[in-house]
Amino acid sequence: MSEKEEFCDQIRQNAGAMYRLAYALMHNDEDASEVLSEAIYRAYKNYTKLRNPQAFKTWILKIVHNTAVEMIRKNARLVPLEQTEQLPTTAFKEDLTTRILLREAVESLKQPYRTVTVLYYYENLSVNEIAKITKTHRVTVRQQLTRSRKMLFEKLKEDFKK
Amino acid sequence: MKGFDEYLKKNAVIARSELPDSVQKRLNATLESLPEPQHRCLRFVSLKMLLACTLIVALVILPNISVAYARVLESIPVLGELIRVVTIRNDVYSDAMHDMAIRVPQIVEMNNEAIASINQEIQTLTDQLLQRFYQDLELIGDQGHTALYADYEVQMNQPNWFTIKIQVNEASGSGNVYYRYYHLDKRTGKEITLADLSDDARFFQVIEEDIKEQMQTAMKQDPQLVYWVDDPTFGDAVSIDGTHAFYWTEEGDLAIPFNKYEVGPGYMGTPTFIVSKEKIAPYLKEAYQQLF
Repeated sequence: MSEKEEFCDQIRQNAGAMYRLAYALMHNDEDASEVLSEAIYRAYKNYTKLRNPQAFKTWILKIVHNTAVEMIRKNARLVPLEQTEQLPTTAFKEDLTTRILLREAVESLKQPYRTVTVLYYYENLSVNEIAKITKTHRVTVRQQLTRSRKMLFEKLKEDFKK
Repeated sequence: MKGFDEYLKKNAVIARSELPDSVQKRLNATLESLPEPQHRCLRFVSLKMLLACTLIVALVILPNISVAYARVLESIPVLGELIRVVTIRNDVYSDAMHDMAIRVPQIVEMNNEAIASINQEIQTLTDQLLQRFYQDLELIGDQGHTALYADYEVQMNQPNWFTIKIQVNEASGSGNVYYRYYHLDKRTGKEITLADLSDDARFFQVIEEDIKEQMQTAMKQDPQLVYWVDDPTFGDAVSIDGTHAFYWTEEGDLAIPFNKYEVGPGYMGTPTFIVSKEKIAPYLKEAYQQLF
């Protein structure tokens, strides 16, 4: 397998995780796509610097995170109309399944809680790995996860108790 | 809250969704556009010396002793590097009567005149749109509604070809939708218009006739459709020349998009017609015969 094929294979295996993180940060598919493209280009340029292929997922998610944060900072003064419309309200429809409730609850979290929640619960990453990706300390990540759990519990307790 | 962590983990795994089609498509296009990496086995030779020698052999010696090699050299893309597009501006405005959302792209420039020129055109277009919007805002105030939406999409980013599409929706009273397409032939590094695809005067006529035939067939099949072909009021609205918008489909066919009101009433929207590659092949320049 050529280097390019190997790289593309790794990207495809981790595309879901990359998209979920990019979406958690950008909140719309268009910007998430842009983040993914840019992150892929950056990763490909530096692929030979990755010493441990087992760490590809953490490595690529870190690049996705950095790329998204840069883009957010560049556009910080502006909030796209679509983004404000997409932020869910606190009212949840009674007939939604648990997974949709969970997704809406997670999407309603403010940053950085949304990012750490997605990485921990959706991607099964460890606190250490999340700290590397978000360039924070693992103590900070644990605090953010604790607060995130409390906020999610308030929103989901009725469904949880069923 | 006991057990809540397990509840979250279990449902998060179930809730993981597939990539949306648009995201998957863009991801695939990005991966396809990645170039093959250069080999790095150059520990004991000075890299600069090796590159210099290779260039002399490749550009001077080899073409002079091999016609086949010279032809291969001609086909190496000038824009072989990745072409990337970034959003340089993302403006929004909203009040009770007026809405605006405009995303402005810039092709990351690689010392290429064509790219610089396209970026300038896009910048000029979006500046004009914004100027008009804010002028209308001041003039109209709360006496009427206006809306402006402008966005872009990388329509194609293949080894030999790059296309970016700008879509504009303007509404002040009635609405108008139009597109601008910008194309780069990566092999030459040049911007390409429809005129550049053929030296044959019949090229545009062939496209026109094919589209008119498609329109007439469509109208026969569905009387609700109205295209201005042999129209008693508007005559023949289909007019293709070297400046008309176009893009290639993934299958290598030629797509001709029309702006709103260009070939039919407003409710017909912005139709696009596909002219097959077989139809236009006899009229295309050799360089565009096997583009994909």
